[in-house]
Amino acid sequence: MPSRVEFPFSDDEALPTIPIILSYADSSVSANALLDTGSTVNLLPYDIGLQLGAIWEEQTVRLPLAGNLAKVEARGLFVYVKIRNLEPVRLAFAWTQASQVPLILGQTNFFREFDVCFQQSQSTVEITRF
Amino acid sequence: MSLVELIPLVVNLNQLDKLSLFKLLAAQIPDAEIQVIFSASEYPVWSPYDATEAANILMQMIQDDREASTLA
Repeated sequence: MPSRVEFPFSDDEALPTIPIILSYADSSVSANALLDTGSTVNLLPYDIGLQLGAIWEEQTVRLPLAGNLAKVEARGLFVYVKIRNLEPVRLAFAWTQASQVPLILGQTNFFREFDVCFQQSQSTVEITRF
Repeated sequence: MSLVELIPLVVNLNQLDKLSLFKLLAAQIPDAEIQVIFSASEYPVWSPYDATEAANILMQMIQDDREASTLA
């Protein structure tokens, strides 16, 4: 099983996103996730959580978020994330009740599980599982 | 010329002329009133960049999960 993958990163693209597969129980959802080094937490939009079959009422860990998301309730949810052919990793997300938000991979705990190298000169993003 | 007559003309201006007009109008409005106009604007910042309490709670959740997995 490889531990490193590389994604093309277009200069024209405003923000670095990568395709991932989210899994929870027996459901999987493909989505583009924003690599956001400035985000304190991973963020899961409400509709993606529902597509995964997660039940809001069953999530008991409440999370106080900041910025625009402070007005919206968020709860902790574990979701498996598969990046291309890397081993799936169980990540903890702040599942927000807002749907019109990006799927974000942030410091807790995506960047605690992966090294990410933005190589602007090579137009690539390299992700290494450690 | 009334504002009602003026609006369609403004709408048809090109981007550069609109910007020039905006600057002209802004120069004629006192700074305090400009501040009020712009402070009323909201810009969405979805990135929870300072949600340290949420991060701490998630870390505790991860820790609890690891301990539960070890015991199982």
